[in-house]
Amino acid sequence: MSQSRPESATDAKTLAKQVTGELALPEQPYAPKRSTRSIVGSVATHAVLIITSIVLVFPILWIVFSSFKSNAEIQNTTIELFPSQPTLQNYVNILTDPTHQYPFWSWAGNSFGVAFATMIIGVSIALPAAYALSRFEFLGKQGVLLSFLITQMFPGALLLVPLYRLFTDLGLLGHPYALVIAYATTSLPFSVYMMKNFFDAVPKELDQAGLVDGLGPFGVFWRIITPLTIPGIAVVAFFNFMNAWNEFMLARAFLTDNTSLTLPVGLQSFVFAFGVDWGRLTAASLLVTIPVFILFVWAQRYLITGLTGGSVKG
Amino acid sequence: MNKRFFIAIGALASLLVMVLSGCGGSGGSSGPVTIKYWYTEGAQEAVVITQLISKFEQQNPNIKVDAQLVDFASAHDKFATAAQNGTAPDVLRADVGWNTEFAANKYLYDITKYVSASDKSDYLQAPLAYATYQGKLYGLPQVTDFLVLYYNKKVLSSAGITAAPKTWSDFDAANKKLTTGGKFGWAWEGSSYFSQPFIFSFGGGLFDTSTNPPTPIINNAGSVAGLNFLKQELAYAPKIDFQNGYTNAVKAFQTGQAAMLMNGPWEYTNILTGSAFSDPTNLGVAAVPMDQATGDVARSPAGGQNYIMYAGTKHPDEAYKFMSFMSSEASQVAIANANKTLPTRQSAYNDSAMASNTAVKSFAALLPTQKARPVIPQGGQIYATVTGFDPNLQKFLTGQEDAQTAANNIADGFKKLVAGS
Amino acid sequence: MATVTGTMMPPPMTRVTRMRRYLRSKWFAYACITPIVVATAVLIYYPLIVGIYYSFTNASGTNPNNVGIPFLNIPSTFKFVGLKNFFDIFANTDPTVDVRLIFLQTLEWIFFNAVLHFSIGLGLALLLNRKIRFRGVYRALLIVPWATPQFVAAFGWRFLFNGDYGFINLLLERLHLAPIDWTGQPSAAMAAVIICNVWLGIPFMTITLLGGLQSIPNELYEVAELDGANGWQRFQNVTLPLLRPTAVLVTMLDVIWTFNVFAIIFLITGGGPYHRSDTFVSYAFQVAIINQKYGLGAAYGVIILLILVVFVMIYSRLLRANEQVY
Repeated sequence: MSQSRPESATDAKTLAKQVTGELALPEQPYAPKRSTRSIVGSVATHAVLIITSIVLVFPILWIVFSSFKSNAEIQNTTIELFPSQPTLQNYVNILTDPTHQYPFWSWAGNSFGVAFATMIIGVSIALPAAYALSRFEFLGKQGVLLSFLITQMFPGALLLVPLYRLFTDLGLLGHPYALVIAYATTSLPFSVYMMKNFFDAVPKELDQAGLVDGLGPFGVFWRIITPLTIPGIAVVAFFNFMNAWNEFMLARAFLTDNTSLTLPVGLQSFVFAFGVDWGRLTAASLLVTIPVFILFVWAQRYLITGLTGGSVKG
Repeated sequence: MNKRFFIAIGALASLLVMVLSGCGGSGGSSGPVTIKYWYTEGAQEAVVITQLISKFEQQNPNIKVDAQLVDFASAHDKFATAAQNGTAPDVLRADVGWNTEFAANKYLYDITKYVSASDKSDYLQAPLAYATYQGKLYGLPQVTDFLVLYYNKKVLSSAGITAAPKTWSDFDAANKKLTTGGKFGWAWEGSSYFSQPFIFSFGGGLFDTSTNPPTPIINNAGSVAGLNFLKQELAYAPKIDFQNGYTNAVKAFQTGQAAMLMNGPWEYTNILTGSAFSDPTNLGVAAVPMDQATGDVARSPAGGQNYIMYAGTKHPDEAYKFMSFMSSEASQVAIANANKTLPTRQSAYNDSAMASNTAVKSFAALLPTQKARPVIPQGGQIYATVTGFDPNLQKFLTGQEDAQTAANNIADGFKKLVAGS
Repeated sequence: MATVTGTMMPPPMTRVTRMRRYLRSKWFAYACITPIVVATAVLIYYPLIVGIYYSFTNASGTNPNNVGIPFLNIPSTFKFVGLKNFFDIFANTDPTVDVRLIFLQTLEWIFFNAVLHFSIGLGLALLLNRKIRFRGVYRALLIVPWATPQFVAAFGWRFLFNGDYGFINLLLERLHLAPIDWTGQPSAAMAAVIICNVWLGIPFMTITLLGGLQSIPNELYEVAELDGANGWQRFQNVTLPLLRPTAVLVTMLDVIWTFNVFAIIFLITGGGPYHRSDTFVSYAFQVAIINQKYGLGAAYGVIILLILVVFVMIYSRLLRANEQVY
């Protein structure tokens, strides 16, 4: 019996692959016959797309080029996209922190740690909950779903004062990792909602097949269904990570020591009362954006599948 | 289940936090004591501060100073947050306005016992008053400041103006001459603090502190006249960008786009890095102009910074040692020579090392023009948005409100502030 | 092999085994759901109740209504004031701010963002849904704002909006147009923050709507074409109704996210000039954290909650109307 389990689970997996393979969305867009569109239309289409692309990319390009300029050149009243005397000084200043005033590495470490912990906690709590909501009927299910629908909309501003007060009472304020508690829970409802959509897309027959194979409910969940929703898990993980990586309000309100800041608040210290250090700010912005970009390129494939096949039922 | 459960979760989280943050505290009573210090100086000004700190650490091998830069703009609310949470720095460089506010909130350690009478008498009267609350001493003055009129000598003389404007009508005449061909007579920082020379010089003010509670006088005739004059002269200044006003104004003056600027000693060294002042003697320093009718009254807002100690400090003796080192005569002279800011000790002015410091000398000569800020528990909030000072000023300057209405609204905000509601 | 075929054929179930299995699965369901219920109860609902409690007090970080500092043995001195905070907000008694304007600005903020996100997103999605050259390139470029952290976008746009050396005003100057006072003029300040948020939100809308378009079966278009429907009719009768579920969903998400936005407003205009680009969310932060008025700040939190409840009600109506499409 114990030997037959893995075998049958594999069978269920193959079955699942076939089923979900059939469910895969058609990637081919609908296109009217080419002849019906004029060259003028095509030129107009490209013109609109090119202009939009420029507008969408320009602010980032401006940051990129400015990060290689000196502050004097940045605050110049002539329009120059390219730096006249390209310098790496801003990057050196950020990465080596020669004046011991802007601990970029501490900020990055805090941000990464907080985002990673948020991701792990968020996913591990959301995953089973979403599965249960997708598969089982039980007393209180509607209440739980309704409560998630409502909490999904809670803005941070709503919890700002109470969390501030509660964290103060516990002496937790000022610790970056205390933010994990707030981030993981505030993104839970949406995580569950997305995850549930992914589970819903997996046919229930697979669960039954697993049960028939002798797997317990946990085995079905963990060994058959969960592996099939890896893209969904990636989306939810990514969502949690980005949420924590980007969060500004609670971090601004709760963190005080310079070394305890996360990146969004840390970078704000280049915008000070008596001026803005645009050189360092743009360089740091770029350094912060690059890992997110890489992550995004990786997650994008899953993200789009997830958003269209998971949360959007066509 | 409610609160206790939350506390249990919180305790668990705290544990997690401790583990994850590597349990930084040294814990034991032996070994060096670490003092956390938040300084708020700008990049240029901070150089000498960090030098002094390492000198202190050399002299006191048992005390380590964890010095952190916290931006001046957010230091007030961050300290308040950390003070309530028990994680505030042992020592903070605080604006004089915050000192009484924090003292009134019991965030601060009473350092009266540490300061001898002779030491106390060495401090200038006005800065010391800012550090005193209900007869007790809650801070040591670091620097004192007020606004002066900076001017570009070359530009003024080539326009035929031989001396810095003494009165507002001189100022107006100079502006008319100087504002041509893309150049401006002056530049303005665009915020409430910098409207004060105008308000004060026409006989206005912020509060009448002779009454209890203090009465706002920001809407009296003098204040309103000052606001109107400010708006009139803004025709000769670059357009104000309220969000970046300070930087833009300094920048305009540094590059020679504007010929005059009202700013404090703290900006002196930074101004000299500008292209218009590659020859430092080109930078002129004069008193804020006066209104002819009102005369030579105290009209330049006095400010400054104090070292204050957190009430929750575990090492008050060591923290005080650090504070007193930083505000000693030698340290004050070092800071004054590096940053051209004004010391708060009489002995520092008389120090032989200051003999060649002409900048500080020229500032010190203008000390009589400074007007003390009301020493009230809400002092730190006067220029915060909570009073509506800046919002109403902006409404007035953009033509949404006339000066009297704006001033009345600010007065209402001030009234609410002192009432604590 | 024999065991596999054996298990493929389920043994006949008795009532007892079915019941046992049912109970076992139910136990599992509750086990799965417990962590999240506990987490949301303790970390969302409990603070929510605490927040509502604070909204009925005059708690502040300064005297005389101090929240107290247990750490320093400073007792709290704040009091229960009933509905005073709400009365003050609705009666608009604060001389420093016009609450009605903040309310209008909140609506303005949500409305313009939602409309611009959706219309631009739909337009781009329709263009990208065609078979065109460089489709992949456009799509890749389109993602850029989405991959940009919100605070980086805010810093970038603040830079572009700078009055003196910001690119936008320099460009206007080159074109011999009057520079715009992005932080001094209320409408310009509002436009500035909206522009930044629209920029950030376009990719999400475009990509999800594109996904929605792609999932519309081609056969429906072919049938419509056979029926002699022209391009516009096909759009009206096939694309729009079938895109509607997606559209309602993404618009809801967009409204929630937009409502939540704080960093953009705080970092670009700081809510200024004179609170004319503040929303309830950014203003609540100002009240609660910068001004340390916890009671009043909590009251703003409760008002935000009420707005959301109203929104949820409207949205669930929409959802119900939406289901009738099927």
